[in-house]
Amino acid sequence: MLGHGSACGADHQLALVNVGRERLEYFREQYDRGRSEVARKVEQLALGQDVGGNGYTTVAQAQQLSEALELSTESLLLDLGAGRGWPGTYLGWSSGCRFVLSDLPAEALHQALVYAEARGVSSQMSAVRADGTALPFALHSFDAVVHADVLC
Amino acid sequence: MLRACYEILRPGGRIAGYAIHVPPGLSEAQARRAAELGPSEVLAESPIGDLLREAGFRVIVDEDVTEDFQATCEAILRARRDLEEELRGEEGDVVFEEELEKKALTLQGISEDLLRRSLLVASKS
Repeated sequence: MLGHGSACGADHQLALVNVGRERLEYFREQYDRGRSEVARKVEQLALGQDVGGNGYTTVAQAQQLSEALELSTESLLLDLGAGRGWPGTYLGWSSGCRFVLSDLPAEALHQALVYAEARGVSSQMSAVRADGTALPFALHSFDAVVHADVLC
Repeated sequence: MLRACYEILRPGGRIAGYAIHVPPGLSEAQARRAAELGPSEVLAESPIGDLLREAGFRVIVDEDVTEDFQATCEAILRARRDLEEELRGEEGDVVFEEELEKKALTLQGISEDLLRRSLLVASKS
């Protein structure tokens, strides 16, 4: 597990199961490049925001997710397929909830941790390398789950 | 994946997110076309709302946001073209061209009504 926050009742066992090598390599290549200055410019120019976002979820949509999930400082949120931490880190920052980022590529989760530290929310955050079909958490341990374009 | 989410949520807990998917009732040829045009990892054969219900959830919101999806995709494509020189320097020509093509194909899929994006919110009873 990466990060500084407690995993809040979750089972901390690291898991990497049911993952095809080809699929994992694809995601590694995506995240190895890191988040460059020009990637930030693309986000700013395209979406008018610079919040570490990627994919198609805008800040307004992330806020809609936060309200739908009824997040508060008491909540524990799982961001499934979190990548570099969008939108989970934003939701943690905007609601004050504790949050766990879960995805396959360790590179992305490390970048998410750096970003969470920059936003001052790393104490609320944990990160677990895991496959979404075999989540290594205890039953009934989360109040909310968020996902953005990861269901298949 | 949704069943796993159901198990880790407390009773009354919620799941919310966006999903890119195909419309229901596609022919085999249309499904193949959608697979060619769509993001590689996000095509579901069944409506996401049905998958949530099958996993045990009660669906609260199932809202089509394809119009916003299209606008966002167009905006990203425009931004990447505007920043072409910097992006080619950062990513290399091959990756730059691939990314441009992916976005263009996604837009094509939306315009042919083969790709949609929805907001789904559901709760665990």
